[in-house]
Amino acid sequence: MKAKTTIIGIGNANCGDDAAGCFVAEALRERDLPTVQILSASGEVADLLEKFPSAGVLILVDAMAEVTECGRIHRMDTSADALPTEAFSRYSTHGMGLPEAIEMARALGRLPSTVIVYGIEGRNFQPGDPLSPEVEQGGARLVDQLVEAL
Amino acid sequence: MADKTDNSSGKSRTIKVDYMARVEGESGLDITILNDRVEDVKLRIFEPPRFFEGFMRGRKFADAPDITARICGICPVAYQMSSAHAMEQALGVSVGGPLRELRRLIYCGEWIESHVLHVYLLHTPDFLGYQDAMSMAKDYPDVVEKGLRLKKTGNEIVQLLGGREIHPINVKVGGFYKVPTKQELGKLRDKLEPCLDLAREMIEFTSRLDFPDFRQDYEFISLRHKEEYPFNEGRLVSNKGLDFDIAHFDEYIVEEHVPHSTSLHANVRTRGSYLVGPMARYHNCYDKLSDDARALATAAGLGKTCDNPFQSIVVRAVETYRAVEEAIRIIDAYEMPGQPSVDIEPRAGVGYGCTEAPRGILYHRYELDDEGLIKDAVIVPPTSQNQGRMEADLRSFVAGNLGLTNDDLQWKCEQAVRNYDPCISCSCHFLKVKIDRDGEIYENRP
Repeated sequence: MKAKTTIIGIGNANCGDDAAGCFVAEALRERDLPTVQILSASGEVADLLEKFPSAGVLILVDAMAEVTECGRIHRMDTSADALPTEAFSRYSTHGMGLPEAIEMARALGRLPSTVIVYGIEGRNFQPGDPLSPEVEQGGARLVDQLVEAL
Repeated sequence: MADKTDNSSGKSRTIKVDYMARVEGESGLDITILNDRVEDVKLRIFEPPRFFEGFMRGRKFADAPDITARICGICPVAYQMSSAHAMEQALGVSVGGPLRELRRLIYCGEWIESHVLHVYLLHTPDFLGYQDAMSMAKDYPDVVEKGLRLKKTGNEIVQLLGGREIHPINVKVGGFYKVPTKQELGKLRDKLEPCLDLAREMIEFTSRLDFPDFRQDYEFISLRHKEEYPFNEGRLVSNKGLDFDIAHFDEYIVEEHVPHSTSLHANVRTRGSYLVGPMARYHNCYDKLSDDARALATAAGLGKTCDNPFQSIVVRAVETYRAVEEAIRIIDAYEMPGQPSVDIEPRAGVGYGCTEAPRGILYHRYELDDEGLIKDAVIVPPTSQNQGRMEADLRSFVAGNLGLTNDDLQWKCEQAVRNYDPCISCSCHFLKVKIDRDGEIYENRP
């Protein structure tokens, strides 16, 4: 990847597998990636929009509902297509979360040309619980993949 | 969706909205019309009850702000404030000086966040004919961008004082775990200054929207404080003669179960439904707004009272301006307190808290044992108080607009519910609308 890359890990570090994005962002900060901007976000729409870069490559990492197997990684290219809303948790109870933030940025003309979302399937989102071992392993695999690609 | 109704036939029709978008929580709306007369209106709330009051029992008094904040992702500060005040009353302490001011400041943040979210992202699409804010943003990018900037500043207030922007964790009974420095607040002030202009533009923008001519005779209930536009403290007053200490809430307000709602309805005892929220505060506390806020309200076409619920969007904008002004005032006067909270010893007692959530008064009552464990908890959220009034509005609105097609009627009814910015999960948690017009059922589906 030649273009400037921004990676945003999304989630709540204290809510079980919701911390998947936080885990990946933290692990990436420990790697030597001087040209990559690594950010963390709660998932709140206004905050996410402010953190989205206007150009380059945007990579978003978030937990998603367990669809097939806890810890499994899904790669979704949302550069042109909307993200499916069902699989991603909605942080705001008024129904505004990551899918809405991406579509809002697209409508406002400030979505970079390349937007990749990595979703890690989680099982337990209980406040105070740690990451499930499967999600931690999945997150570690994603970190390795990203470092290699970057 | 096809309009199945012949409005001139004189038969009955049912309009049913199964899930209502852009409200918080899960609800539906059933409207039955028979021979051009509104037979029945039910705002069905089928969000599962969450039993917060039940599982508070046996917990420590200090747990209340963090547990009750989980009731709502939009107004957690309100839950923290009402629970903290109630506990402090039960424990015989009061929080004053800069700690009290910081509580008002974090509340300013929540009002800005919540009002701006509702005005720009949830409610304006109704007036401009868009399904959602994302579609609206394509045609009104500048409006949405300004809204997002304003909301972000509200988030930052909550983040600085609350530790994080969603479900803050820094509020405690007796004050805060950690208080900000003057320098930290100074940085926030720099961001708030341009928000005054953004809030002025918000008032002007909302005032130009097209409002149906729909005025209602409301009983407005809100806090009233002798010096301030209310957040945390005051007496409960109404435009119909109520004026009582929050400890007497039960004597004046009665909660009732109705079969079509998992959330209790609240009524003024012996009288009926009432309205809480921005319009109530505006009416009861108009004189406590700043001169600037009142002048902006006047320029926006508001008098001392707003009794058209569709114009509540303008009142929310005025309150947003007031919150920005107040935040700046608090920051300018701030001196860092010596300690972040007052000391508290557990003891037995009963305490009451009632504060102004963005949607209206939020009442808490707790009974503690001598170890400070919760024996009993009562929580009455604003949306549950507004349910009866929402149904009354709908009944009246439908009666006056029977000539509308089912599609138009459904759209307007959903808008009428959104006038209240309902937080249905607070009240127990998306709206389905069903209109029964002389037996012909009209129903929206997600």
